[in-house]
Amino acid sequence: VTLPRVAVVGAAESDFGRLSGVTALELHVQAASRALADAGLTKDDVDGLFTSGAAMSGVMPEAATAEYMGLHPRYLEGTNTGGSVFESMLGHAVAALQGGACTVALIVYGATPRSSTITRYNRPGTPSSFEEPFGLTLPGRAGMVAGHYMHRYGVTGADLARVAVSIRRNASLNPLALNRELITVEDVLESRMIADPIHKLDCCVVTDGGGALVVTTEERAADLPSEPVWVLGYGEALATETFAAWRPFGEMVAGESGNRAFEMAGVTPADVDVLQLYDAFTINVLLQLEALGFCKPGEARDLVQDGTLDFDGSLPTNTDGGGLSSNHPGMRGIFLLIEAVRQLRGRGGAAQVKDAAIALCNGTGGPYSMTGTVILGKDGR
Amino acid sequence: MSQDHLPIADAESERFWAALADSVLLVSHCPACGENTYYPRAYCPRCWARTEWLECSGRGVVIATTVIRQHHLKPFRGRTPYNVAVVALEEGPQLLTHVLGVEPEAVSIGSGVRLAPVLEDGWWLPTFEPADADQE
Repeated sequence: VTLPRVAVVGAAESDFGRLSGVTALELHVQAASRALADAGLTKDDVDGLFTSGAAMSGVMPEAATAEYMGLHPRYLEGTNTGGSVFESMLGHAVAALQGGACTVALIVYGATPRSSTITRYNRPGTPSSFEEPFGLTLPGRAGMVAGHYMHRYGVTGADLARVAVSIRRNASLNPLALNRELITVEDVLESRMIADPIHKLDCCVVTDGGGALVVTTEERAADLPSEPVWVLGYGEALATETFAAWRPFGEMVAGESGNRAFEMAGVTPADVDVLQLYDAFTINVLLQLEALGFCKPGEARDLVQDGTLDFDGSLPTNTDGGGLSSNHPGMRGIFLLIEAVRQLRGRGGAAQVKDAAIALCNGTGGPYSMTGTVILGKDGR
Repeated sequence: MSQDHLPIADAESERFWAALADSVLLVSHCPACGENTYYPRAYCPRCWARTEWLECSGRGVVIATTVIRQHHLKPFRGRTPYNVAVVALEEGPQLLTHVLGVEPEAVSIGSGVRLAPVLEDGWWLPTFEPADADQE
C-alpha cells in the first residue's frame, strides 16, 4: 500500500513577545487565520483540529478551543505531551489525513505566560503529590540534568554557554526575536545563577505567542497556491511523566523518536541541512544532538564549538533564535515546525540556510522524557 | 499561605503518607516479577500483578542535585536557596526529595543519604540527610 504524501501548506506565527491585553485563545485565531491565508484556504476548509493546552479552565479545554474558534471538526486531537506535542501531533495529522479521517488539518497553539503569570501549582493528586512538595522548578530540572551530564562527561558551564551564544547570533538576524544583542560565553557564565549550574542565559525567554500549521494531502495541495513542504518522517516516544522516575536518568528518548523518523524518511543525520531543537535550556540541545545521532554520547561539547550551530555553521540550529532568544510561550514545539517550513521555502531572511532541503525538528516535553521528531523536505519522496 | 504544593492522599497512597510519620518509607513491590516501584501504586507497571508494600531501608545515593535560587511562588519563594535531589534507593526506585542538614551546595552526586522525614503542615515528607550525619 502506498500512502498518500502529506504536506504542510500553511505556517504562521501569531504576534509574540511581550503582549498585553490579549488572551491565549485570541492568539489561536490570529495564528490560524495567518496560516490558512498562507495556504490559500479558509476556516471553512478545516475539518481536523489538533490543539493542546490552551483553554486551561474547563474540563474539556480542546473542545472549548474549537467552540471559541467556531470550528466544527470531524476529527479532534488534544494530546498533551508539553513541548513535544506539536511534533507528535503533526505525525497524528499525517496518519489522520492518510486514513481519510479529515482532509485539512489545522494544528494550532497560543499562550500568554509572559503577561499572565502562573499563580498556582499543578493539579494536585497522584502523581504530582510525590514531586510538588519539593519546589522543583523547570530550571531546577535543567540544573539537575546539566549537573548530571557535566559530572558524567567532564563538561563545563562554558560548553553549555556556547549553545546560547550561537542561538543568540541567529536571533540577532530575526527582527521579531525578543533578545537580539550578541552575547559571549562570559556573559552567560556571569549571568545570575537560577538553579545550579544553570545561569539565567542558559534559560529560554518567557513570552506570549502562538502559531499554526495547515496540513493536507498531496492531492489537495496540488490545487493550492502555496509552496508545500513535505512530511518525510515522524516519530514519538514517551517515558515518564514524573521527573525522578526517568531512567536511565539523563538519557533522552529522542533516540527512539528520531530513529522512527529517520527510518520513515529514509535519511540519516548527515542528510539534515537545518535543525530545530527544543532549547528550553542550553543543556537540552546537547542531549538532543547526542540522542538524535548527530554525535556520540558525551561528544556534543565538541560539536557545539566554533559556531557550528550558527545559521552559517556546519549544523545550523534554531535559526529563528529558538526559545533561548526569540520566543517561548510554554509549549514551543509549533515554532520549530514553522521555522523549518520557512527555511525549506527559502524564506529564512538574513538567517536563511543556503540550499536547505531537509529539516529535522525535535520537540521535548515534560521532564525530558517525551519527544516528537519530524523530518520535513523541500521535495517530496 | 498556599498549601497547593502539599500532597493529596488517595486510596492508593494514603498508607505511604501515613508510614512516613513513623520514619518508614514504603514502595510497592511486585510478588510476581520482583519490580519495586515509586511512586507506589496498586498494580505493577511492569507486569500488572497486584503489588505489596515494601519497607525500604531508607538508604540511597544521590544521582542528581541542584540548588534552587529562584522560585516565584509561596512557600518556596521564601526558602531559597534550597536543595532538590534525585535519590536512587537501595531497593531500586528513584525519588525526588530534599537533602537537608547540610548546605544545599554541599550535596553531591554519588553521596550516600538516609531517610529523615520532615513535618510540614501536618504532612510528613520523604526527605533525606547525609548518611554520615550524626544520629540523634
